Amino acid sequence: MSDNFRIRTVDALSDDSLQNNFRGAMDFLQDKRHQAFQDLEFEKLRSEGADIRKNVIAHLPDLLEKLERKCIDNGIHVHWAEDAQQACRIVERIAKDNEVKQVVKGKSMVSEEIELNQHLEAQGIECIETDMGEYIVQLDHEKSSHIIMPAIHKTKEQIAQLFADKLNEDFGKPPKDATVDELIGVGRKVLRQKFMQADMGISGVNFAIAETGTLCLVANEGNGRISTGVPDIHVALIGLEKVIPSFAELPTLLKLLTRSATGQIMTTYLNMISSPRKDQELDGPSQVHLVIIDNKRSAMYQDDVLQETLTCIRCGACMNHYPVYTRIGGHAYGSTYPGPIEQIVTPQIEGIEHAGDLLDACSLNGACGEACPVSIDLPVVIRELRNKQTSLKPPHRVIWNIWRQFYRSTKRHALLSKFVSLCSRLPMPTPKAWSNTRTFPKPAPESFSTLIKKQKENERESE
Amino acid sequence: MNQSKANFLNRLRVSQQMIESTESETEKKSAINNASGKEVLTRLLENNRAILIETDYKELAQNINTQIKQLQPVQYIVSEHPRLKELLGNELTESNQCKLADTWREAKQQLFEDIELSICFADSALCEQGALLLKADKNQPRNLSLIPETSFIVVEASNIFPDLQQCVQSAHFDTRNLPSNMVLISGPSKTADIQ
Ligand code: SF4
Repeated sequence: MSDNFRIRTVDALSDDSLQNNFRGAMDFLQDKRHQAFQDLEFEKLRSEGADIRKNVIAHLPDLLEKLERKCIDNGIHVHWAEDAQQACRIVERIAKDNEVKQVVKGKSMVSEEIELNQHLEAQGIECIETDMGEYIVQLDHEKSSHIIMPAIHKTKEQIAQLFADKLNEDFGKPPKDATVDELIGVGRKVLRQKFMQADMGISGVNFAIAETGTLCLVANEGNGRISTGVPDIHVALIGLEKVIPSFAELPTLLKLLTRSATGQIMTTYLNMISSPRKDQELDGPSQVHLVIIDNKRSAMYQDDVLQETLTCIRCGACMNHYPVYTRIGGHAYGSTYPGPIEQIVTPQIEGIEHAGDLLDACSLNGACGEACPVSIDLPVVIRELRNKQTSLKPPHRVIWNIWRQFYRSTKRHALLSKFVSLCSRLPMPTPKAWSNTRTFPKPAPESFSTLIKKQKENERESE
Repeated sequence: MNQSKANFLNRLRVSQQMIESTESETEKKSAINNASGKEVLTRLLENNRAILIETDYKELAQNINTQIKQLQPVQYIVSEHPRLKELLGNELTESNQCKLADTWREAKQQLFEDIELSICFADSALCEQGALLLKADKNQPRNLSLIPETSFIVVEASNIFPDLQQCVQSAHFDTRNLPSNMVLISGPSKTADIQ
């Protein structure tokens, strides 16, 4: 999956419009987040958030069992899936048992992680993304480029074109110079019709409250609420780390999540689902299913450094503050969670041997770790994964050892730099892709150590 | 399937012993007091493009009537929430008021296609979040505040809380008997997806 990362990065860097979209949007998000935290003591709140999430990790199995018990008491069906395959099959079976034909889906990272859309479509079940951004991305057969703003890489002109190409005439073709509001209007019309017809809704969960068996979802668009409240069946997918003990922890985490993600004090909606439709209620799903997904998370749990990954609340702040991501955009990553969090999650889910160059796309500058609202020390985790990756590759170790030989002794180092500076004076082919945009650095006429030596000699003479 | 559950709980339990828990009771105090609360609530709601109307009990129904006259929805619907009924009496314009059908299949169609405006009741308002808490039950279906383009949400000033924390701890929030669905709403639906 990540093997082509390098190629996609080069593509992304040569796409000017992509870069402009990204820089603009990322600067905007960074600013907004900064403003949103101004009314609060970020550090204090953040350490509260980190404590809460660490406590969850400490009590994870018990909390999960409690969550299951409460949910069952409330009439919610609970399923456990060990991997992506099993999770997909569970959803497929729920759909088939109920003769579901049309599924609407709210935004859910974990559903992308397990590639649920593809699975359901292969079974002949249509699965429509209902988040406007995700829908746009789905129409164009792409993957989302940002976990909070999936279509951020597209301009409104590109979207107008896409709607004009792909949508049914009945919805009215948007003109080329359509405004943002007009485009959203067209998108809404299409989606509302899908909502009416859908017999099953799928969503993610931001926090699952163990004490009461309540599933909490944040959203800015009504579609999340529609996916969970209009169709007759609601299936909620949850990574096993998303559980929290009680309502008491919710306010702190919510504050951190909304501010970090989109710089909002509060999202438009916080949807809290505790049971299926009750007796005499007119609406709401008659079945609610909760699928708790492991998919390698328990393996992360077993490593005391990597374990920290599980405290992530998927806010995206690390990405918006991440210099590499703000330049190449999310598509270069080619998988579900782009940015620093991707660097630490994907290798763990897909296996470190598939990580390729992904782990190297980081300067360990620490910007992501500083932004993280639950104080995950992302650079440390990335370094740990790099260590693991390197230990798998014998040539790396050999090269490293040779390097060490030269850098450990001043003499050998001086010898090496002389050799290198001599070589670079020889006419040599320069790598094309690289020198297209850069000039090859010229070595200084004299090396640093020679300069020092000379200066010392001068000093001695003048004494 | 139970095998899966046992498997993955086991995997977690193996390593759980090694993690120390950091039980810390930080004192949680709201930065907002009652006086500034309403101001914050107003500011946040208005920032989110919600329109605020302050009114006393006597003029509530009349105020809503004026709005309805201006907006001229083809049809509108009023939640059957008992407190809301009490507050509104029989004073709302009847001509374009409608009732929902008995089955969800038909009611859904009404909500999506005919009803342009709804009037609902919020149990409480939260200043710090700038949001209203609505509970779903047989009198107030959850989709009432969601599908119609415009929603009027009535909240009583006596039900304003400084923040979510205090609301959750209050009698308003009976964790042993939660409604099937609750929602915090801080403004009309929006998307930041097209720029
Ligand atoms: S690692 Fe931290 S900043 Fe990044 S998505 Fe997770 S919680 Fe947010």
